[in-house]
Amino acid sequence: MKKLGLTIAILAMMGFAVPAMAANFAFHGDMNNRILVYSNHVDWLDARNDSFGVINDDTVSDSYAELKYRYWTEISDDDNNIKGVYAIEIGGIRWGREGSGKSQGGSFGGDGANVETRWAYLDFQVPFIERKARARMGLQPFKANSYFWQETATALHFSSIITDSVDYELAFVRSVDKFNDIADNANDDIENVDSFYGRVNFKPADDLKIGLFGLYMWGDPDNNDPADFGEIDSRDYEIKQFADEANLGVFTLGVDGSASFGNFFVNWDLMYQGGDIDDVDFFDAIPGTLRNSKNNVVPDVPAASGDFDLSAYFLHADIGYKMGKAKFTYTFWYASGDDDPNDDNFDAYLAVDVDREDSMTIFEGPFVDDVTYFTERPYMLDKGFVMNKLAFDYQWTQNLTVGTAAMYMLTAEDFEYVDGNGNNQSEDEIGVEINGFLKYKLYKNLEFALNAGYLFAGDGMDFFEQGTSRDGSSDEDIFVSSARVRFKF
Amino acid sequence: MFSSKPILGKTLVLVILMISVCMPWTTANSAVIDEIADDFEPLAGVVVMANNGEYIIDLDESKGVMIGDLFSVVTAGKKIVHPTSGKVLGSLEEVKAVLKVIRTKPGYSFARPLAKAANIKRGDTIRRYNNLPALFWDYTANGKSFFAQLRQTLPDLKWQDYESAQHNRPARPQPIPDNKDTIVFILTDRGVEVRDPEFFLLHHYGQPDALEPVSAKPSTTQKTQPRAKVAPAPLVAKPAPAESSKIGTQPQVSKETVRFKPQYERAQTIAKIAGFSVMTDFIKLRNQLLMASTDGVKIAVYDVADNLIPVAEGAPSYPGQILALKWWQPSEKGPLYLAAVSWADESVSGNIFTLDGKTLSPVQERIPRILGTFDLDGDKRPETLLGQSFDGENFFGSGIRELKLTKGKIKLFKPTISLPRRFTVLGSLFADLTGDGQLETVFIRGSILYIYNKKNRLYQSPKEMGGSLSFLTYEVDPTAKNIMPTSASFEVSPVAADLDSDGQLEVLAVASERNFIGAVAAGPGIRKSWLEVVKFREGRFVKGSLGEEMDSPLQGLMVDGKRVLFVVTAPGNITGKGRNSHLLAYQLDL
Repeated sequence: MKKLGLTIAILAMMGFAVPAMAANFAFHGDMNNRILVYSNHVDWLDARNDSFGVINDDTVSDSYAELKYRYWTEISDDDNNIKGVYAIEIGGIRWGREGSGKSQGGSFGGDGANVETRWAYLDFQVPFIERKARARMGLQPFKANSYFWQETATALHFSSIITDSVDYELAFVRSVDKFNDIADNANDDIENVDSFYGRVNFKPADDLKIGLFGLYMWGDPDNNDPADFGEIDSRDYEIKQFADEANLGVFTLGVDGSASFGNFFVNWDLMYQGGDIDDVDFFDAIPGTLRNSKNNVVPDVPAASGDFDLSAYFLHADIGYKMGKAKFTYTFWYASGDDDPNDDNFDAYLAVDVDREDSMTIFEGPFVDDVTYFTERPYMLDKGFVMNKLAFDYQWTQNLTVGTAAMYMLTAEDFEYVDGNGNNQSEDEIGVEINGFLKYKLYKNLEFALNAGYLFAGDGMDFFEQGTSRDGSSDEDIFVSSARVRFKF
Repeated sequence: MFSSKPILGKTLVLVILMISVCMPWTTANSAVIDEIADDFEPLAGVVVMANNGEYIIDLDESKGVMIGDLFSVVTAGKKIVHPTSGKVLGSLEEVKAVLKVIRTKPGYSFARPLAKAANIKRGDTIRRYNNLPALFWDYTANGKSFFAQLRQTLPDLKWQDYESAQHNRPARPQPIPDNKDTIVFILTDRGVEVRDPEFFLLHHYGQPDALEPVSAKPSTTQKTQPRAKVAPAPLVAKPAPAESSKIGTQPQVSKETVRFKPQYERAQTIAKIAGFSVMTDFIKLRNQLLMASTDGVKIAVYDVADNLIPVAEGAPSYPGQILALKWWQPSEKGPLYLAAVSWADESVSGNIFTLDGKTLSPVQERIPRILGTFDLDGDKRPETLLGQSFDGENFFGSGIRELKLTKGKIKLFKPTISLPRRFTVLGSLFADLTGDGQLETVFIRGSILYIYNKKNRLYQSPKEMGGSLSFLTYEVDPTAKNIMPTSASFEVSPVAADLDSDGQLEVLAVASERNFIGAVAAGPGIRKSWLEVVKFREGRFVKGSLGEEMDSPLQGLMVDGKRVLFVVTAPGNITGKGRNSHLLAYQLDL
């Protein structure tokens, strides 16, 4: 045999496959340092306070810095048949804030207890199935639809494919557990809050994807005595806020998808919700009052009590065009609102648990997203929402991206209230927001970003104003700017 | 009239000036000359025995033998007899063959004959660089004095005079047709190269500084001279171990305290790649070898000859990170395409380009698939284009389609081949490795090289395969507020070639050792790389290696006849400073 040149040395080292259980270890992280550069109305953005977001007369400005770090490990076998994931979240730790818990532990010594388990789950390929068939169980990122439910949840999730163009998901999610909680009441019903979720995705072509999904959530806290009714505050109009207090039987059916035609692209979401939300008191809350009737909420009489029929819908569409380094996107969505807080219908669209970032001044657009926003949902209170947004993004260089957006926002149903002068008001205009951002890669995975937004407040914002400035017309515009330095790997 | 004293004074000043000008000149030249003298130091030995077309000689590295060294096999010719005394003064030695050292062992070395082996016999005398013709090609027009020193230093070579060699030298360095024994010394403004009769690089040295004084502008002659386009081998400055102590103890730096050596001594440098390369792909056309290279932002196409000749440039029309390149030629006489995979707008885009003069013109962009091309019929032409769907968690999804260009548009078809579930269209190939007439599927994923027959796994390598600078950190679900970044690596495709001329294909693939940083997914973290060979022998796959370990990632691979071409990219620091790439070659059949 002709000899190989140079130094080829065939070594009979590996004749057969090595055991398939060698472990892979991966470590990922997201080290996010965030700064609220300035806002003229932190009273509005401080929505997690008991009194929710309000707008006081004149400026209420502030700034702060915080950090939120997440680290997670993945351990898997060589074939990725089994994967275990564990993630922790540190903070946010606000600079200079003492104490323990969320946003604290940044004062002298910095020894607040501020570490939480973010994810902990096992993900494995179902044995004896050649095609993809993954089961995932534990505390995991869960997504049904980004306008409906997209957050961490404890679930058993299964995903597989039928053909190359059809795949599906099934999931069981437990959101509330009251195992053997008989001390709470004399009934023996299962009091947990659970959901079944199913989705089928069709991909008839590379540039077309259509998803059909449905989710049914149910739970019964056994509080059918009116004295024990759960409470829904219009400012807490999100399922995760009252799921453990209501007798739930809620379904959501949806169609979502995306398509592209050359440089054009379209995304869409359409959802309908129905079912019952029973054994609750509904409070049509007034901004500035406390969160809970038992904590002296005003008014202390519910707008309606008992059983409610849910019938709501949501629709969304993005239409965009990509042109070289530029991208134009027009976004519209409509979340139905409730026009009568005193009837026994809930007509307002209900999200389960989401984080929307579409607006700087209303949603979670600021990078300081833990506590500095009015709402995380794609709507305001139980009044629904109408979004019209035109965005322009431009990748200036390989490392620099800039963008700006203008949006005109309304609620689907009017805020109806009595102003500070005793006059009845009915307004729906949130206003026009202009915002912009800049993202610059200092290094490959280290990003500096800055954003700012200004809301030319519409008269609907008067609903949230306090004192004599609550007069039927908006008096205060809102400005917010934030920055971050983020390393992710 | 001048008095004698002023004349003496002027003469002294002149001499001092000349000395001061010539001193650094002499020293700098001497350093290069001394290095050359070391490398070409005469050595003599004998042929020990023949072995399968090669010859074993009785010299080894301890005697100073280096791979690539040329030995003249000499035989006694006519006797030199004194005309009056009749005393035999000696004999005229004749060179009957030239041997080139291909590997060394303790106590002996293997060499192969250049050109047709003459009647080399056991016991024949061999002399290093003795009695071989030598040429000096000066591309600086300032090297005549250096040539004189060279000629004086290496008197055993049969030098052609400076003017004749200059007159006959090509416009740019290139092999001499039918050259059997002539060594070529090439002086360019980047240094001195020595190439053997096959035009492979034997040595590279720094430039003799005196050729171009620092303050001197290039002469008109130099400007008009064609410049050598062959880039020198990458150099590292290393203090010679024996000399290091001298640096600490003596303020004067000896001219021998610093030695320059090629970084990859066994590989021959073909060229430095402009900028740097994170991924390359090669294709052999009838009379041309093309290399496509990307730095992650733009794509450059080169004609690979004895250097790299730029052919075309291009990039997707939208911003993004280019992750991989693959040549695609659907039909033998049809047009040539280049498939590029890029990451833009938080998703994968496939792009098809065609060579259009000096530009790469897009045929179709934003194909939402990861593209890879394959040679299924074994004619070394990648005629099959496969597109793999993107999967957020694993990057490489489960849906794979064959893509065909129909009336200028890409259409999807069900692939005709059966693929294992974890197959990836990048870092993979199909080849009949077992000789059973069926294609095996080879792919690298998670640092393991897998070989499958349809869906049956035949082989799984140790966890050391692949290792690429083409690396992406991305968010699993960009719509999620709570981001979950992960990372993916894009491997250089293994190559199937009959490396040992036994009529059966082997797999040649990149392997690497990675550090902890790689394990934590902050970057590829490649500490060293090498080429691994996997061969089917006696009913099982066995593994070996080719060449030396390198301290930088390998970003391209091809076997071109008896040459293994590969691209080495030094990754530089975190800002990218210091990144550079070289196209190197191993000769398989030395």
